[in-house]
Amino acid sequence: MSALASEVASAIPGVWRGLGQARSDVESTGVPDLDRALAGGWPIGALSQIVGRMPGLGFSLMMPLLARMTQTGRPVALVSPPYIPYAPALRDAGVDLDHLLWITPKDRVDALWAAEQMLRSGAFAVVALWSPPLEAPIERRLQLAAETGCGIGLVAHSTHGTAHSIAAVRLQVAPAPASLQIEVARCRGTRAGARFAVRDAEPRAA
Amino acid sequence: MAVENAPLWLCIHLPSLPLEAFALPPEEVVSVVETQGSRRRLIRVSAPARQRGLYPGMAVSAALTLVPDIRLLDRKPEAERQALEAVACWAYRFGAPVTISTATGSVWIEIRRSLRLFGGWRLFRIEVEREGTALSCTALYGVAPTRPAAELLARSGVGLDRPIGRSSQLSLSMRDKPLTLLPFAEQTLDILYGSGLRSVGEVLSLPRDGLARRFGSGTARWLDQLIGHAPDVWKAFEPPAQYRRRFELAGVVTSTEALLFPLRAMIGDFSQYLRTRDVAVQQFSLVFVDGFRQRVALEIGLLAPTRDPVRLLLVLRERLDKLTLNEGVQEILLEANHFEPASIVQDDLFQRGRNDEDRATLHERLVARLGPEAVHRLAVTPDHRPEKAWSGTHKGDTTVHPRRPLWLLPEPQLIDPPKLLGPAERIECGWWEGTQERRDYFVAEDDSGRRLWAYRQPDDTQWWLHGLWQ
Repeated sequence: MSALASEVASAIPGVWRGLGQARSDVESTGVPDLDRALAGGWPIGALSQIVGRMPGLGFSLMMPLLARMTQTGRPVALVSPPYIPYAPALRDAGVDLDHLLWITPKDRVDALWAAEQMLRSGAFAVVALWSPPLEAPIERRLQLAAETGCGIGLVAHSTHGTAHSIAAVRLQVAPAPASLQIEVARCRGTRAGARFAVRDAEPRAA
Repeated sequence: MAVENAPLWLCIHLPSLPLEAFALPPEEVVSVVETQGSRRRLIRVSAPARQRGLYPGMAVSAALTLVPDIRLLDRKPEAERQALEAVACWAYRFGAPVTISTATGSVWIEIRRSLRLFGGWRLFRIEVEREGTALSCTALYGVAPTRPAAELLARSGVGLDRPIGRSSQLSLSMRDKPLTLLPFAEQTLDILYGSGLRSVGEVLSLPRDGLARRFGSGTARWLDQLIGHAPDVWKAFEPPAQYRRRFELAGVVTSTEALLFPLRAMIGDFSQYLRTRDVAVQQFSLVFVDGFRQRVALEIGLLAPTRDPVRLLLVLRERLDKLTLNEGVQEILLEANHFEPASIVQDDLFQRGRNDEDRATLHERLVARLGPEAVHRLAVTPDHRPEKAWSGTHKGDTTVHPRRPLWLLPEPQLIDPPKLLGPAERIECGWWEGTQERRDYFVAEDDSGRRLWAYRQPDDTQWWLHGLWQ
C-alpha cells in the first residue's frame, strides 16, 4: 500500500485493510490475550457479538473498555441488560458513572431504536445492547449506525444467532472456575479460532 | 446601486399563499376556492391539479367536470394572515421597518440602511437568496423605492435581477409592464383593457381626475404612489411578545405521522419568530383539538434553550410517536410564553459536530420516546443494602464495600445450595426504616463454574441468588 493509500484508508473509519495490517481503528479491550486475538481490540465503527449460554455472561469483558472510555469523558450506554448493572461494582471496576447511561426500554423495538440512535449520533463511544439474536436487516442497520457514528457496538446474546451475522467480531464465552472461557469465533482482519481463559478479578473476601 | 437616502423596499410577494397557508402535502390534487357574488371560482390550484388541466379563474362547476375528485377548500384568511406574519418575522433579518398587506399577500422590508450593513447590493442579494430557501412559502422578490412598485416588480417575476434604486427611474421602469400586473379589481382591468390599454405606462399617462371619477380615488392615488408622486401610508409590523399560533387543518387528521407535515411548517414559523426576536425557547406547548373541541395538550420541555427547527422537530417527533389521538385532529395550537436570551444558544445546523448540544438533543429524544423511567444514570448511595446502593445522586459517596458483583438481580432468585468460595459477609441495616434486613452473603459458584453472589438469612436454609460476577 502506498503511503497515500494507507493514509486515505486510515482516514476512513471502518475500512478494512487486510490481514496482518497494524490497525488503528480498534480500541484495546484492556485484556492482553483478547487484544492479541482481536488484532488490537474492539473494532471501532462496527459491531462485536458476545455470545454466551447464560444471560448477562461476558459483561466483565466490557469493563476495562467502559472504564477507560468514561474516565476520559466519553459516554457509554448499556441498553436493556438482563440485570441491574450494579453501580458499586462498576465504580470499583473504574467506570465513571457520570458518563454511563443505562437504558431500559419497555420492549425490543424501543431497545433497537435506542441503540441505533445512540450509535448513529456519535455521542457515545460504546453502546452495549443485550438482545435476542438480531435479524439480518436489523443487524445491518446497527452496523451502519456504528459506522456512521464511529462507535463501538457490542451486542450480547444469550443464545446462538444465525451463522450469517455481519458482525466484525464474534466471541463465545462460557463460565469456568474463577475465569471466563473465550473462543474467538470470528474476527474481521485476523484468523478466528483462538481460545483462552480470562481470569476473574479476584473477589475480595469479606 | 446609487447612493440615495429615500426608502428602498424589498417586497416579498407570496403568490400561492391562499393554498400554501393550508400546509398540505405537495402531491394533493386540491384547489382553493373563492365566492364572488354568485360565482364560485378557483383562485389557486396545486401543481398536480394544474397538471390535470385546472387553472385559477376556472368556475368550480367546470373544474368538477374535469377532475371530479378534486378537493376544494374555502379560503382561510386567518391562516393566510398568520403565514404572512411568519414571513414578516423572518424578514426582519434583512431590515426594518417591516410591513405587510394581507389583501395582496405581500411583505415589505425597508432595506436602504441594511445594504450598507450587508456590504452592498451584491452581498445582500446573495444573503436573501440563501436565507430564502428556508421559507415554506413560494416567494417572489422585487426591489424599488415605493412599495407598490416593489410589489409590481415582484409579481412580474423579475426577482432580484432588476432592482430599481432611484425614484427617478420608476416611471420609465413601469412603463412597459403589462396591464394585468395592476392590483385593481377585475372589472377595472376589463374596462381598461377594453379601452385598448395594454401596459402600465399607458394607464399612467391617463389624467388622474378622470380615473378617479371612473374607478374611485383609490385607483388614481395608487398610480401616483407607484411612481412616488403621492405619499405612501403604512403601519409597521411588530412581532408579538408571546407566541400563539393556531393552525386549522384542511381535513381531519387521525395519524400522528400525518400531523408532521403541518407541524413542520409550524415549527419553521416558530423558529423564524425566535430568530426575529433573537430569543430561544426551552418550553412550549402544543394542543391538538378534535372535532368535539376536546383538547390533547403536549408540554414540550428541552434540556437547553434552542431555536433550531431541526432540533425542535426531532424532539416533537419522538413525543408524537407516543401520542394517541382518539379523534381526528382539526386544529393545532402552538404556544410559548417564556423565552431565553439567545446569547447562550449556538446557531444552528452548520456548526453541529460531536458536541454537548448533540448529546443533549439525543438525551431528550431518548427520554421523549422511551419515557424518563427508561433512561437512568447510575450512582452509588451509602446504603449497605445491595438493592438500595445503586441509585440516587450521592455521587461523592466513597463507602468502601467488599467487592461487589457486576450484575444485581432485580429480585433475588431461589437457587440450590451453591459451592461457597469464601466466608460470609453479614449485611444488616435499614432497621430504622422499619424493614430490617439481615443477610449472609457469599461468593459462590454454580455447577458450570459461574461465579454467583448468593445469600441466605441467618435462620433460614434457603439460598437466594442476588448477583453475578461475569
